[in-house]
Amino acid sequence: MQLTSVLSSKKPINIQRQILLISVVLALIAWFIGYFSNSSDVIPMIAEIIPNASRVEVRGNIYVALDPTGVVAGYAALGSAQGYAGPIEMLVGIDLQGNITGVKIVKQRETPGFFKLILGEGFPEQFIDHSFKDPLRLNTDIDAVSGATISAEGIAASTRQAVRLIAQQGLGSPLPPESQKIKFGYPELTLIGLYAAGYFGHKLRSSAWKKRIRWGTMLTGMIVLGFIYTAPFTIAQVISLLSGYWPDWHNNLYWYILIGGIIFVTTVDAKNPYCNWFCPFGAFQECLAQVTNAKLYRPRKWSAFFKWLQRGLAFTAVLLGLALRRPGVAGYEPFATLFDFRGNSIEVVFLVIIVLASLLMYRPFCNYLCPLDPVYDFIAESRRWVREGWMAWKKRAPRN
Amino acid sequence: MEKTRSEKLKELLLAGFVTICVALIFAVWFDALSNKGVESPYFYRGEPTTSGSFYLTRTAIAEDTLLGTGTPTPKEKQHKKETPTPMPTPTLLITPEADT
Repeated sequence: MQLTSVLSSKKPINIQRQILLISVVLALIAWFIGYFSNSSDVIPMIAEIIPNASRVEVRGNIYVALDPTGVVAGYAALGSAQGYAGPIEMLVGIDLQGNITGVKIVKQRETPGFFKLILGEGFPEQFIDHSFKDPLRLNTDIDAVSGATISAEGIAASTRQAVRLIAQQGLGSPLPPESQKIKFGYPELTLIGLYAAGYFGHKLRSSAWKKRIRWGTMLTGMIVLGFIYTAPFTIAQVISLLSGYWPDWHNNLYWYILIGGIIFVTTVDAKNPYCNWFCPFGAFQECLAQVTNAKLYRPRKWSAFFKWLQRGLAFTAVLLGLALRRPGVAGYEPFATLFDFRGNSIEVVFLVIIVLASLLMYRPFCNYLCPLDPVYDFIAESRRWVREGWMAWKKRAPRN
Repeated sequence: MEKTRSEKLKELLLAGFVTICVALIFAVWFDALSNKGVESPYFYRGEPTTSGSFYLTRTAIAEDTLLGTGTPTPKEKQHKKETPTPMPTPTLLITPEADT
C-alpha cells in the first residue's frame, strides 16, 4: 500500500474519527503531565530577593524572611497574572520600610522573543525600590515595553498582587481594592468590525462585491491586526485556552473576542471566519502572490501527505505546549518576525523562505505549515460528529 | 514529456520547501526549549548574594564614604586631597555573617 493512500484525507470517516479520538487522548495525557510537573519550591528563592534572609517562615499567604539573629528582615509573596501565553508568577521581596528589595520571575510561559525583549529593556528592575503604596502600573510609574505590552502588564499585575498580599498580611497596611476597568478600544472595535464584514461579506451573492469586501478586510487585518497591534491568532493562544490560562477579561477582551469569535462561528456556522477574511499573515502572502500572479500549487498525489504533515506539526505543537505548560515555546508561526521585526536568525531565515515561496505559489504557509488550519479541521470534524450523533439520537428517541 | 519534467521540478521544489521549513520549525522548537537561562531570572536592589562567601574590593576613597554615613557631605569632598594614585585597600572578605 502506498504512503499517500494510507494518509489519504478521504479515508473512511471512522478511521479519521479514530485518529481524532487518539489525538484527544494523547492531548489529555500531555495536559496531565503538564499539570503535575509544574510545581516549584519558592522558599530557596527568597534569599535572592531579600538581603540577609537566612531563614523563612510561612505566615498565611506570605513568607517572612528572618536574618541570622532571628529578626524579621523582610517579607516575600507570590503573585500571578496572565501574560501573553500563560500566567507569569512573580516572587516579590519587601523590606520593613515597605520598599521592594527584589523581584524574581518564578514562572513564565512567554514566547522566548517577547521575554528576551522584556529582560533586555530592563523592565523587571524598574520595580526595585518602589514603595508598596506606589501604583506599579504601566505608563504611570513603570515604563511599558514597546512590542511586549501584554507580557509587561502580566509582570506588573503579578507584582502588584504580591505587594498587596504583603501589605495586608506582612506590613499590616492593606491597600484599597484595585479598580477593574474594562479595556475596550480600537483593537477590539476593529476585530468586531472585521468579524461583521466577514460574516455579511460571506453571504453576499455578488462575487465582485464579495471580492472587494474580502480585500478590504484582508488589508485591514494585515495593517491593523498585523503591523499596528501585532495581535494575530496563534497556536499559543489555543494552547493557553486548553491549559486553562485564561486571561483576566477586563484587560484582555481582545483575546476573548478573537478566540471566542472563531470558535463560535466555526461551531455554529461551520465556516472559518478568520483565515480567508482577515488573517494578517495570510493577507501578506496573498499580496505577494498578487505581485507575481502566483497560483495555488498542490499536487494531487501528495496532497494527503502534506495535509497530514501539517496536522502532525500542529499536534506536536499542542502536545509540547500542554506537557511543558509553555504555550509560547510551542508556537512556530513567523508572525512576530514579520509584524514586529523581531526574531532570532532561525526565525528570520524561516520568514525569508516563506516570503520567497509566496512569490511562487499561493499562500504556502497557510497551505502547508500553518498550525491553525488543522485546528479548524478538528473543530469541524467534532462538530460533524456531534451533529450526526444528535440526529441519530433524535431519530431513535420516541416522539411525544 | 516537457510537461512531465516541469511538473517533476515543481514537485521537487515544493518538497524542498516543505522539508526545509519543517527542519526550521524543529530548530525553532529546539532553540526555544534549550533557552533555559532566561527562564527564572531575579533582580535585586544591590549586588546579588549568590554564594555563601564572595569578595568585595573597595578603593580607598570609596572606603571612606562607605564607612561614614554613606552620603558624602559637602565638607567631605572626595578629591579634596589629591593623591597621585589611589591606593587600593586590602580585599575584604565578606560573608553573610560578617555583613550582619
